[in-house]
Amino acid sequence: MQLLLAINWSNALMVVWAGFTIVIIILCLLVLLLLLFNKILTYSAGKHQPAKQVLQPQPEPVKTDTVSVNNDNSQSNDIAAISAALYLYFAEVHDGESNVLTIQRTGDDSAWNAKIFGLNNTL
Amino acid sequence: MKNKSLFLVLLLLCTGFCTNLSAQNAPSDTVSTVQVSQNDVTEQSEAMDKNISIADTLKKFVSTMGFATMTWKTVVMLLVAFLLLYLAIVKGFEPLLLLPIAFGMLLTNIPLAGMFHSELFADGHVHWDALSQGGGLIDYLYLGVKMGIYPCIIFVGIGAMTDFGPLLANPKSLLLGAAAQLGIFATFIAAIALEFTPAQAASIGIIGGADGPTAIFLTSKLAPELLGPIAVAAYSYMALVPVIQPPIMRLLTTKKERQIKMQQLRAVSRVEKILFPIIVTVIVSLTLPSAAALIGCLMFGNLMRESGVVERLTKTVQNELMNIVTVFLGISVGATTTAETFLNLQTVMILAIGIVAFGMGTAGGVLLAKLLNVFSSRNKINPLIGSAGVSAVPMAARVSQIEGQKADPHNYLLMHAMGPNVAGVIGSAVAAGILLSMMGS
Repeated sequence: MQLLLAINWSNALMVVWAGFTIVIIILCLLVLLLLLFNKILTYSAGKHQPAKQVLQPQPEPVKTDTVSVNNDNSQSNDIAAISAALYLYFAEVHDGESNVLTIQRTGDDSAWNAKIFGLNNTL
Repeated sequence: MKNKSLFLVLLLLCTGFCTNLSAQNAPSDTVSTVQVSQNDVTEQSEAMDKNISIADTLKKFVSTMGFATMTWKTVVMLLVAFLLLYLAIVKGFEPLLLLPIAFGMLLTNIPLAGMFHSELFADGHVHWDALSQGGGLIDYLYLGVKMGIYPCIIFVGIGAMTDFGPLLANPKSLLLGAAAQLGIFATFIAAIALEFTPAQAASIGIIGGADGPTAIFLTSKLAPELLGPIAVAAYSYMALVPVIQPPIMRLLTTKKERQIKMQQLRAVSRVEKILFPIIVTVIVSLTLPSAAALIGCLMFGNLMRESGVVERLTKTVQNELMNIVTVFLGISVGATTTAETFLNLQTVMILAIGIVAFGMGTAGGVLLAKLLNVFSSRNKINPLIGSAGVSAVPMAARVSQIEGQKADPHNYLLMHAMGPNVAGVIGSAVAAGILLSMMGS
């Protein structure tokens, strides 16, 4: 097959034509599916709308993973409130520290060097 | 405390001294044995002195040095490796892959170092017996390339990092991604004309897809002997997308077309994003089973990302796994670029055809966008986003954005260009699958 292709130009052109056509067909198929899928989703979202319209005069937008413009203010207020609460909480967690690290001298044997502090009496 | 430490130091010194003494004062039978062996050694060394002079030893040492066995080809390859290192480090051209490739090239071209043994993979097969006996680290790392493992793992990572939202918001982008694959098939014809075999021509053509892992995957299957030049060409040209594409884009479009402002993309729901990888995997794999490996890995990564339930896995795939495999892939692909396989007319031709492939791919996307505009009076497409159909993500989309802003500073094309850009990844994987099914054994 490969040797034939190497010699035969018509076969080479056939490969190109068939290959490119298949790429186009597969991706066109995906385009159609995506468009169809989008319509189904929009339809199913619209189907649920009348029940919600009784409660709300404006149609509820389709749920997305992006933040909608209408919710920006309320969400930013929420974020501000959460941030303030966290700030106050963390402010009280620790005492005020000097941020200066020192090594305190404690004589000959301290927890840093004395073996006796590392021993546990398990008996 | 000081006394204690001083005592410990003295104790250690005494112990060492006593050990030496005990070795010297060994029992008498041991002494006699040692004396006999010492006599033998003295006799041997005297005999060797007669045979070998210092000059001979030095000559022998010099003959084992890499410098002594260097040829002009080795020097050229080392210079090419230095050039690629320069491009990666100083110019920042695709450094994540160009740097490991360049260093692999450097290692494999050091004479007598024996870093990579191409004979272990001769005739398109892995010679397992020889590999287990004499294979080195790079030989084992190369197995991942040879078996098509690394490109697939990299595709999982790419999927986990890719947002298909812009593509879902504007499904027409898929057509632009398909048109940009024109470069692959046009280059195939050009390579055939230059007397490459069909399998080699297909591997060279895939450079036009501007997708490094796909190029490596297909080449390792169809023409492993061209892996080095094709990988270097693919990644070098991917890095040169901002240089190659703009002149072609400007040549094929008018200023008025470049100023077209596109409609804001719609928001895409999470359900759509989750279902998309599943649908694409099923449709493409059923239509083209040979593309299932690449498309399946790409979509698996994307599903992990969009599902949001395996955040740890997603992060691992996006970072650690992808980085590790990138290092392995780069080093082992670089190691295949020995002087014998790289310095020949074929490599020059591959580099020349590769740039044509990129140009054709760019032109295909731009021209299809113009064609779509002819048929649609409203919702016009800015043809500049067509060039992003080559799947150099996100570089090609950035080029569209930059060129768009040159024509109109208030025109933001980046998100619109991301659609064809990610479609190009799917398109090149599909094209690779088609070529594999047609040319593969």
